[in-house]
Amino acid sequence: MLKKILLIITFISFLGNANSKLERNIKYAYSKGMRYSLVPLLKEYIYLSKGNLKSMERYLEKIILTVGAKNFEGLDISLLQRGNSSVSKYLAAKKIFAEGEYEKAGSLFKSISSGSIFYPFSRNYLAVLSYLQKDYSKALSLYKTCVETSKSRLDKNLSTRVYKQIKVNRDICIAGIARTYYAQRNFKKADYNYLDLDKRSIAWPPTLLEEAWSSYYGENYNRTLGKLVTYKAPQLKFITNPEIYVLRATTYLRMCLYGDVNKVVEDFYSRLEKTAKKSESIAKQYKNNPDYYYQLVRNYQNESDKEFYYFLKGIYKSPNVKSFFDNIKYAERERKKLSKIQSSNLKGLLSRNIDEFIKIQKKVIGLVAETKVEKYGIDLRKSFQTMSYIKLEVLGRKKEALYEGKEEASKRGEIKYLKRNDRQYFWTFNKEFWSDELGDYVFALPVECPDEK
Amino acid sequence: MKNKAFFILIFLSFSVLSQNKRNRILSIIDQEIEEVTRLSRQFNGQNPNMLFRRSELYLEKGRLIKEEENNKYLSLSPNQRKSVSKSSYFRGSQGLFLKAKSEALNLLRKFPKYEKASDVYYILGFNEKEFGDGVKALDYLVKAEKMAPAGSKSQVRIQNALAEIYYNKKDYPRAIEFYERNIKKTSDRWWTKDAYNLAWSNFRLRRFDRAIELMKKVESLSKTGKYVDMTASVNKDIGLFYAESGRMEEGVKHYKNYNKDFTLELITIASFLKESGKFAQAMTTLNEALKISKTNKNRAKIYLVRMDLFDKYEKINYHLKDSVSLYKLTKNHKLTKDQYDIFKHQVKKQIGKLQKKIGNKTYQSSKVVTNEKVNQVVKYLTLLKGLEPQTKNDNHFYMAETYYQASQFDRAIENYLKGFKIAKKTGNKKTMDRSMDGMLQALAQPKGKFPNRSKYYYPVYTTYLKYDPRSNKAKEIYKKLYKIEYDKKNITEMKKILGTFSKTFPNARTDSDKMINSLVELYTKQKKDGDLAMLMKDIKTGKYQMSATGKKGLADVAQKLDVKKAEGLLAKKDYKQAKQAYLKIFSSPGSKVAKANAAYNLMVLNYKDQKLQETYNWGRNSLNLMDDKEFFKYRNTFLSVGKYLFERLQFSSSADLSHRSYAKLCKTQVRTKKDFYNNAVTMYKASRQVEKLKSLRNSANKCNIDSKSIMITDKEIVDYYISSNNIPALEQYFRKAESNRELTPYLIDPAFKIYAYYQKQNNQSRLRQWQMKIEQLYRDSKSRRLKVPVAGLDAVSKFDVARLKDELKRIKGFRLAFPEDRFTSLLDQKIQKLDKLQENVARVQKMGANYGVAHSYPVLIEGYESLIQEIETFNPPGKSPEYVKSFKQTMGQVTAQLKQKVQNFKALGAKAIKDNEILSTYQGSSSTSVYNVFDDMKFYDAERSGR
Repeated sequence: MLKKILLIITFISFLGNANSKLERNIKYAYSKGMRYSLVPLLKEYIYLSKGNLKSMERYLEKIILTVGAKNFEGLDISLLQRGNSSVSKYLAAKKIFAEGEYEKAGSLFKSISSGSIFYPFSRNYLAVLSYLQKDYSKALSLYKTCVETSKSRLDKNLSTRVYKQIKVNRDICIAGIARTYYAQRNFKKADYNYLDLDKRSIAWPPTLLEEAWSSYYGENYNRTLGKLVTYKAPQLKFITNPEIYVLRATTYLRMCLYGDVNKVVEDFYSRLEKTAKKSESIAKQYKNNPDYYYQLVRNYQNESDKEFYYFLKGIYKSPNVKSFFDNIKYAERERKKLSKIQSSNLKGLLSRNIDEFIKIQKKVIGLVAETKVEKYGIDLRKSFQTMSYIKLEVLGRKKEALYEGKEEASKRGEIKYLKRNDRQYFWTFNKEFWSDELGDYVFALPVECPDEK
Repeated sequence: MKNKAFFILIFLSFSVLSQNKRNRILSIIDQEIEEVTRLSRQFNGQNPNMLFRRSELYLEKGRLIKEEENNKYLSLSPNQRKSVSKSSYFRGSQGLFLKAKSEALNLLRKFPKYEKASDVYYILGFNEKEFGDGVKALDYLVKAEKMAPAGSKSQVRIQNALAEIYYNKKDYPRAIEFYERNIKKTSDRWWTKDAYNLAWSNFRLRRFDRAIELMKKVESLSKTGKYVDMTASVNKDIGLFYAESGRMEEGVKHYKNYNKDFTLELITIASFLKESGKFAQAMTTLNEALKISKTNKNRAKIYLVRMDLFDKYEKINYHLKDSVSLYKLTKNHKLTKDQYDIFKHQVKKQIGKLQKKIGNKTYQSSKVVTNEKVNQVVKYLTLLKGLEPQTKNDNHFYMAETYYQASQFDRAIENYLKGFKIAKKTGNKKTMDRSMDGMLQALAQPKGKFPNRSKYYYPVYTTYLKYDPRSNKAKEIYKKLYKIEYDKKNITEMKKILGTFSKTFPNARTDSDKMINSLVELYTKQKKDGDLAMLMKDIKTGKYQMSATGKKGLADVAQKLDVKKAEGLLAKKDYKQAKQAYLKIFSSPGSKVAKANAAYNLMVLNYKDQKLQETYNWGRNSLNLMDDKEFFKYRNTFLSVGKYLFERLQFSSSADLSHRSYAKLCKTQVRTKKDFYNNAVTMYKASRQVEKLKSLRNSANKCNIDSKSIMITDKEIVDYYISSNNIPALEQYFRKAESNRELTPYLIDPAFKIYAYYQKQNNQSRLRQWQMKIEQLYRDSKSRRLKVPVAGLDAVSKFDVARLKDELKRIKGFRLAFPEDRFTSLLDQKIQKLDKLQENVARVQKMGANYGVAHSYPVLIEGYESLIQEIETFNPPGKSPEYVKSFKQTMGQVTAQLKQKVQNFKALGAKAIKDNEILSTYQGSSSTSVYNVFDDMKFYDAERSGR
């Protein structure tokens, strides 16, 4: 027994010594402007301190806001849960949320102090949890808190990267408000709230589709088409969600503009069938090969398949991936700052840390891209199915009308449609595609269904 | 969205689709098939719904294409339809049905637990229905019905499809059963169509009330616009339902509600009823239609349908009434060309039918009935005159035809004559012909039926012949006139007609033959030989035309007269005149039999007069003309005549008659045949006619002559060639003779003659060949134990003797020589060889050939004598005289023995010659054998009387 206790004491004292040295090194390096090279040291510190960050919490917060929480999500949850700091709670909650334990995640998010920089982020997550639980009023309230608290923390003195993160969080919460109204089928309010979102925000482009759906369910089909046409703007071409096409076709179907439906379906097939095959083939061939995917995304500009190029560009530009690319860029820049470190041992350690950090970023990019490529193939395939169903619906309606001896309802619409085509229509828009007008287009097409007055 | 896009499987009645609409639908279906295929690709072909949908689409397309193909096929004329293959018109649709079936079966195979299996079976059933396989269709649909969820739309449509199949199978109770299951659910827009079918099913089962009730409901719901509009079909059919149910008044009332002229509908219904054999209902419907009809156009239609019905009913009076009404109507209303034609056809048909009835014995028994029908014909003819003015002039003719049918021939002919005159005036040749036909036919009636017919002969025939003296018909009339005069035995008129006829129809020889023959007959009967002779003369000069056969027939008549005359002379034993008479018969044209008979009698008469050459000549003529059967009766006469001629050394004549007689008996089995044959052989031999002999021999096998006679013939031929020293001909005939195996031993000597012939020519190869042949013939003879003639044996022995001489030559060939032991050995050899020669000589002797016997011993004697001389003249060289002396002494003893042997041989040789009685040339004596041909001949006494 005595022997055993002695052994434990020795270990603890050893750990204690190591921790203090680590702390010193982190503080020293941080003071010299090191951030990315500190990530492994901080992870080590959290491990050694068993989540009890104490004075290191400040450093961790800053570094998480700079490099992203994702870089710390690999840590043991139990270790993070043990810590009292907001940052370790935030990290633990995020991880638990990702694992689908919403209740547990919720209580951890709730426990984050209102003074913490992670508070607005925690509100965002809590709002999502309420939304998922269909507690829309609570969700609205939390989103609003999220927006407010995010705004209040937008300090010009913050580093660009930290500032950006808080801003994105704010915008996501603004969109969240609109989404919640949409879920409540309060489409007018939803549309109104979508307008609060800054069009320059990275969170804005996906909301266009949501707005389009909102307008669709509000039976404002011309507005839906207007929202969707925005995706044709050169600035937004990297948004390659097949649902855009599906919704466009569905909207034309609802308006009984069968010629337009066919055109959208055929356009979709001709544009993307090859791309779908390419996505499926890559996903099959490069399973568990993150490096390949990293290179694929990194070199997206070399892609010859136009649609796949936009898709890869979309990955590249997506907030998750973009921040990792930025990490790599900034980590490389940090290497130049190593000269400021006097201790050659520490310098060497930090340099190795940068290598390791970059390696992890690349891997994460690769893994995310792999998932996206795989999903893109699946989504496209499903969308093709939907498109075919839509086309068959059109054909079925036309045939039935002929069998029943009724004049084709779509005839009038088709003639009109033939007078102006989508391209010309778009070209007109292109001339006026000013960024501030994006998403504000509304079509003026008549509904051609027989029972429509 | 997905569910909505799929499974809209509605099988509409396509018959209403226009070509344009159908093409547009087909284009959509093609796009659908393309899209479903593309969609299926998105599921990697693992979505059963896609297979199902594609199958549906192929079926749908197939049905549309079939409708189009059907239209094309139906647009062909019936004749074209017969000449084309129906299936070739339906290839497109058949291909699609097969595709639909294959997709459906593939689906069931790949996804056996497919949730919509009932729909798949429904498709399969429908598909088979389109293929025309009702049994399979029913199987699939029954299966589909069992699997379909109760109360589902699938079940409804499957049950309706089943109902339709049962309807088409004429199983109306089951069709009703299935239709009724869903008919209460009036919510479906296809209800009207199903109810319409159900109405028809009830109608088929004669449940008229239910059928009409349903039709009415279909009609009312069709008008709401919520259902498939079946109004047109109901309007078309409901009248029929009423008509069939006997509720025509109600039907009329129903139609009145439509507030339009529905006469046409009633006419259509009536026509349908008429076609279905329901004449009573059809008539009722037409009567109703006539009541309400407001236009002449429709009345005309009604009259025409009614006329057809009356025609079927045999209601002539009604038919006539409607015909008159319709005729009156035509004054104010113009019929269509078709209607006009039908009307005329109806009128003509009635005329024809009435005329036929008038001609019927049953009706003829009642004059009243016949007169009534004749009157009806007159009325119809009046109508026809109005309908076809160009037939006006033919009225007398038609009347005549009617009277003819009524067997009122006097009136018929009077009308025919009138009709004929009018037709002649108007130049209507057709009517003239037909009238004349009618008149001739009437005149051909038996007297019992037409007692006054003779009254009309003259006017009819003369009328006709004036109009047409040269036609075929005229020819017939001349014949008829001639017959009339013949019946009257009016020879003067007959000759007149015959004269005109011969001039007008010089080529109608068969007819003029008959006319002349009937004249001859009359002359013969009336025994007017002078007139007959004149007639013959006229024929000869060409006044009357006659065929070659006719002339020949006439010659036979004359010939018979001559035969009769000749026979009379024979009977009177006036042979001279009889000969003249027969000579005339023979040289005049006439029958072959009579001529043969004349020749035979001339042969006999000349035989009586001992005129050899004439006897032979007439015998030959007679044989040439006489058939085998006839000859058979007189064969013995010919045998006697042959003998008679032979006895007077007329070998050739006798041989020729025998040969000809034998030929006549060739196929018979009588003894006389062999006699004729052998006589011919003997006499040909006697007259040295070898070619004739050969010709006779050639026919022997065919005529079944016995082998011995044939052998004799061959032998005679061979002997002939030997005696005439014609060796090449002998050699040529030898092969034929050789085939006669009985002749083998006899042929050895002739063969040797040939051998000798070649010997002179020194033709070694032929010599070898013939030597072998001779020896072969000898061996054959011996082995078959046939006796070889002496000449044959001689021939063979000549070769033996030659061989003995060769042997002798070899013995003489080596000479005795010393020293002593060598001498002894050589002497011994020579003696041994002589012994051997002696044995061979003995063999030749044994054969017994004269030549061999005579020439073999001398060879042996010469052999011994030569040895004796050699020993006696031999002097041992270089030996002492003592030795020589001793040697000579010893040798003297040897030669003494040898000399004794020679003596013996000489005695034996003489004895052998004597024993064999060799009279041959070898001994210098010869004698000629005497051959009496008479010994071989067989004759019978000829019948010395005429036939």
